[in-house]
Amino acid sequence: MFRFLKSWRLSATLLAAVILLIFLHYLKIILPLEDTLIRIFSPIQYRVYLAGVKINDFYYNLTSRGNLVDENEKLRNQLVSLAAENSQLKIKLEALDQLIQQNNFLLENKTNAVLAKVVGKNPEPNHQSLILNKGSEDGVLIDYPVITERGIIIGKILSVEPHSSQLLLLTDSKSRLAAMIQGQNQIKGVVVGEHGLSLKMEMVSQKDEIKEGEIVVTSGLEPTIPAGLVIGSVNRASKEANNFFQTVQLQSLIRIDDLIVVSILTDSL
Amino acid sequence: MTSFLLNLLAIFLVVIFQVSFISASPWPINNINLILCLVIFFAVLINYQKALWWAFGGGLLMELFSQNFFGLITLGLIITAVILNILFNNFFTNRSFYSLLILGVIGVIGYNLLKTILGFLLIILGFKFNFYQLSFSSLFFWQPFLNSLILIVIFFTFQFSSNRLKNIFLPKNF
Repeated sequence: MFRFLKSWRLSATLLAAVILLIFLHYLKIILPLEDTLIRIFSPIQYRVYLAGVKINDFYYNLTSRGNLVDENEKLRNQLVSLAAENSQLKIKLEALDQLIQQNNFLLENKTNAVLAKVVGKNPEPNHQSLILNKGSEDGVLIDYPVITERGIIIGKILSVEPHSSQLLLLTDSKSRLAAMIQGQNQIKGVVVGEHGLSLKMEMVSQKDEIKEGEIVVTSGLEPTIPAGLVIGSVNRASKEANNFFQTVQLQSLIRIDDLIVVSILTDSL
Repeated sequence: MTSFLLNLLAIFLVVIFQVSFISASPWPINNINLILCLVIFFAVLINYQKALWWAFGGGLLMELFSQNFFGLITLGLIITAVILNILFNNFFTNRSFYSLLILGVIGVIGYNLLKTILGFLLIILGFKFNFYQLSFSSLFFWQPFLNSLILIVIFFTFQFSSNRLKNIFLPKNF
């Protein structure tokens, strides 16, 4: 009984002490004591806390390693698929860009054309020709000129099937195109391809003065090819002593490898 | 005197460990309340007065690092010790491992509910009270489970290091 009362007395005393301390705390009387105790604890707390942080880091690294490996694999796969998607989108964007430029040229010049996609290239190394996805069913005929953006001619239709055609590039050795220097209608010649690599203008009189950078365009002497389509720019002109004609090396203004969409002109300007 | 100082030092160390290590640990480890476990252990198996002193001293030291109403933790610990003492004296009459576990679970859940009820009373009295985020899973599973594990560890550590909780067979004198 006495023990029971003693324990109840202690409980009541301690509860009363706590209530008193609550009052003293809010009256800020024991504030210096609290502050002193916190200062005493602080250095030991810091060391214990640091030890805790190190253990937590170790635990976190251990548990998250598996997650990190999985996440890395997932991100790697995502990167591969995004790179492929990005590549596809870039090609589409480039095709769209070419399409817009060609369309603008056609509208400005009120020309009818058939838009065609480049779907392949002749695998034989000596033949510089591209395969297009439009053919006779779409109104394409042999010798029709093929242009790209800004009216730059890249070749002529070599052969036609109902739903496809072959474009002979100007750089092919068999390609011949009647041309002239832009702004100087009397200087005419024939643009010939050189082994799939470059263009040269032949049959130009040695008397004609040709400057570097001048633009070479189609002369319109061919029935299916209108005048004024840009071929390239003059790189250099070479005159040989025992020859009637000079040879003009031309620089193409576009990269054949970048072609995705082309326009086949179906009527003249 | 020596015993008093040793107990005071032990309270200091336990509070530092609780505040700087356990509370800063990741979930669910931060659900462990070492001071509460020791109060329950002392109240059930050792000495009720010791439990009250540990509740008083440990609670007051924990108040220094609490953002809540000053005195809430101490009141919660003392009242929990009182309730456990009443339950032990009236329902669990033997100091056994099982009574420790059951009273441990009751003590942990009771302590948290008590703090919440006191918090509501404070709001009624016009004081501000931060209702800490206490989820049902934390209150009814993680806290009782983890603190019970700690009680088991304390029990077996104490049993190993002391004769007080061991069975003693009295020799028969013929």
